[in-house]
Amino acid sequence: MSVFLFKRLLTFILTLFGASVIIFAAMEILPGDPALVILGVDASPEAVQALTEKLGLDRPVPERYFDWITGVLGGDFGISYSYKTPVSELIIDSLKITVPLAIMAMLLATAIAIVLGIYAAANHNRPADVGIMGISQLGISIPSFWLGILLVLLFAVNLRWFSAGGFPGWDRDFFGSFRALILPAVSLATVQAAILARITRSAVLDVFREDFVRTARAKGVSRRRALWGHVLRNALIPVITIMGLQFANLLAGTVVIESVFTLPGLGQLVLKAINNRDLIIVEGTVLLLAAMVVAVNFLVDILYALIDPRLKVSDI
Amino acid sequence: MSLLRVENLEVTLQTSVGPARAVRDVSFQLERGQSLGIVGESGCGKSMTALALMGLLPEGATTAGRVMLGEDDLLTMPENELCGVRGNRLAMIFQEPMTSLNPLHTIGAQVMEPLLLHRGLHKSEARDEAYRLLDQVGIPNAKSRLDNYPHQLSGGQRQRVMIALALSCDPDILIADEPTTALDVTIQSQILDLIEQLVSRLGMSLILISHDLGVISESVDRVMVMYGGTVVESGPTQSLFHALAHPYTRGLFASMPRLGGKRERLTTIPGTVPDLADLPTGCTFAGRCPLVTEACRAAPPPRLPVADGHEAACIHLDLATAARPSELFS
Amino acid sequence: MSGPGGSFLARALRHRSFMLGGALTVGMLGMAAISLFWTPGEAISLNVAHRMRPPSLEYWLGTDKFGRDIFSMLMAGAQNSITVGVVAVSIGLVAGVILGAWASAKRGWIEEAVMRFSDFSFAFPAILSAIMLTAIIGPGGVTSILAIGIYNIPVFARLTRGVANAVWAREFVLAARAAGKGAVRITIEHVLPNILSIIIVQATISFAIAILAEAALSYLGLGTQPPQPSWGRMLSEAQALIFLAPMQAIYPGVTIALSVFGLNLLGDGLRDLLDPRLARKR
Repeated sequence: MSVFLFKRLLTFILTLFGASVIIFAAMEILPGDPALVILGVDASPEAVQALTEKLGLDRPVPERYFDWITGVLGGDFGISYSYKTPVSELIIDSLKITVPLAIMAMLLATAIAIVLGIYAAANHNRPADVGIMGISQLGISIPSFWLGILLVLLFAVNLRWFSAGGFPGWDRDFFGSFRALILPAVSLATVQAAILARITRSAVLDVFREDFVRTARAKGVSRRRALWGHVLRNALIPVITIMGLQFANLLAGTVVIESVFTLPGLGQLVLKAINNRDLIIVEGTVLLLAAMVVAVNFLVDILYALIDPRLKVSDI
Repeated sequence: MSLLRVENLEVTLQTSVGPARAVRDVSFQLERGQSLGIVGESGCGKSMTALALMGLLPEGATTAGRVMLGEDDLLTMPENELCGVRGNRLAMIFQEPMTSLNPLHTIGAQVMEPLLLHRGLHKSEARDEAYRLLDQVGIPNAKSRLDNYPHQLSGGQRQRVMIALALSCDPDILIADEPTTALDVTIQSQILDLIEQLVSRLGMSLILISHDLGVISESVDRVMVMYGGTVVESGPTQSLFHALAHPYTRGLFASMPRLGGKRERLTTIPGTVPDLADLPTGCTFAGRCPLVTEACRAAPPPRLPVADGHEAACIHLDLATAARPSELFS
Repeated sequence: MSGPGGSFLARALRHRSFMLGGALTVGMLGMAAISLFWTPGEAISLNVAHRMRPPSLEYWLGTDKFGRDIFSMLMAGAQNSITVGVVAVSIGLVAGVILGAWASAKRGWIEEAVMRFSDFSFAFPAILSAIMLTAIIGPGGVTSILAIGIYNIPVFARLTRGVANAVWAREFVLAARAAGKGAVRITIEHVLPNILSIIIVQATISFAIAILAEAALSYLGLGTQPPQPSWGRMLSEAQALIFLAPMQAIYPGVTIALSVFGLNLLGDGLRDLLDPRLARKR
């Protein structure tokens, strides 16, 4: 393993550790006694005391952090107060919606963005370019959840091609479940695609101005061949960077879009948990979402090393 | 018939302040095996002339005149046919070896590209040929270098790769645009020697572009001095350096430090190069010339003969040649 | 401030997207300002007798299910969006610029620490912070402001450090250091004036993003609470009635999109106008 990747792996682990400490600390400074919250204000002091001991809330903070984090690493997120089931089960059920949704949106956004971005760059300053850039400027300005509502209005209310929300479940109706994710994925992907298309276009244009592209052209390589053979791979580097950074926003968007389409994913889980003051779910879900963002950015770093030979020896 | 005949070449660039006439009325001929040097300050149009020959001008540039390579006019040739000329009959080396190679492709892949494109070789044949080419330009361990990436090579080695690349398809003409400017002084002469040696061995014609009169005087048969987008003086190297005629050339020569020369102040030419978007009607050098008169500003100067094949565009040649350069610009 | 092609004002007047963005932004600010002392109808108090009215001269865009005038709610909602946006971006700007300028002036481990902190914060988009904050302090405008503000700190810190490092390498800063000026003085006298235009552009763009984030948070019920009207909550209330009154889901969305679109255009225009170097590169 190269020094670059080792450094990145270390950063990855440290970031996760930092995130877990912050989330734990945030839940720690919460006003109110969790045991009291669970049992309600009418509970007898003895019952509260018993639950406090049962939950281990009377032990020192570092000890409880250690217990929590070792549990999480082993897949044990604790027991939900409101559902009375292991949080890990709740999380796994909601991940079955959130993860496919995020992946579908990301793939769709990337495909649209790269095609449009390259097309705009290849037609620099011509009507196609100006048009695509104008539309993408609008796309960036639209809230994804409003786009979701508009899609519902068009495809569910008027055309009746899709249902306005809900999720049948993968086991019960695989095709129906997939269908239920299409409109949400399109809403999420449109905004992402608008951002990424602009990045792709400017990255391609920047690389086209590089000396080595002129060298390739001087060899007799045509513009088209230079675009595919020399420009694209170089242009991918900034595009992937932004994709990594945008992933956090995509996940955030997922939380909102699940609300629009009433999909029982991670976002719905955490929002309901807030209403129920079921903090153990909030804790676990937020940590998981943060971990997903960090993990994707770690993957982006690995992709860099695969694309750019300079990273394997330099940049230590 | 000449190998390359450039007639009244004009290049106009689009800039934010309007069209800039980067090259105006440039004509020259190049015979097989001959070498031509183009000298001038940065922004005088020498690189634009080279890029116009290659058909690689920046977006929005327009051209006029003719660039005849044999029977073909390169300026009107369709782009797909031009791709068959570039790197094949006409090759070019650039100034910046550090950025002129694709950082994400191996050296081998980059040298092989024109071989696959123009000579129709198979991959394995092209690889053998790339090895031979790298070896020929003096890259040690050429075989293992094939799989290296540009960042693993020094600047001088990268310029050698650029030369190997340019020579890969035995072009008729090699254009070298400031090939040594970005290199360490110790490596400059090695690279120049290499270019000269290979050009004469392979019987190619050479267009060498430089701001350095010293480099030019040693390496080429004919010299063309450019100023403000146009040719101010041209002639056989011997004749031209023997009798520098145009005030600009004389100033340029006098402003160059010489090894072992008398210890005296170097001459400087006052002023700066003219704005190509806002050129004067008459002689472009009029704004900086000590001999300027009303007639200079009225109309572009004609090219007047100085010696056999040697001409200069100045109406005060008698005055210019009479004075010593250091006196001219004092 | 005059560049090639005339004075700043003359160039601004000729810049089409800057003018369009400026007009939309002035429109949004104007709506909010007017709503402070006048709205055509009732934006806050309920009047069930006039519920679900169609658009008319009295109710320009109709009324919602509680009889509130929708156009008036949009005007008052602009107030809310602007307040949250301005305060949140100011928090991010002040804290971020201080952190970034500090990192750039001190370099070494301080710079490293600030940059690692910024990397780390990117794992927490505004909505995640808002979820945690809601768990701690409950939902509301303050939650939105804090969440969006915290999200903006690393944005400005990174940007400031990047451009400030470039300024520190310039000759006039070297001259100032040679003259014995301290890091704080150099930062205030030389670095900040030179990075101001880039910060202004980023603030405009961040303001646009803040409006989007505020709308999302109040849509989820984490942000601004009733009775204060907010665009996001209007959308969530309208969604429940989407089969009955689809247009009610259109107006707030269009208002958000136009505001954000205006600010984005304004930001791009400012970038062109304030930094001719970048403009020419395009």
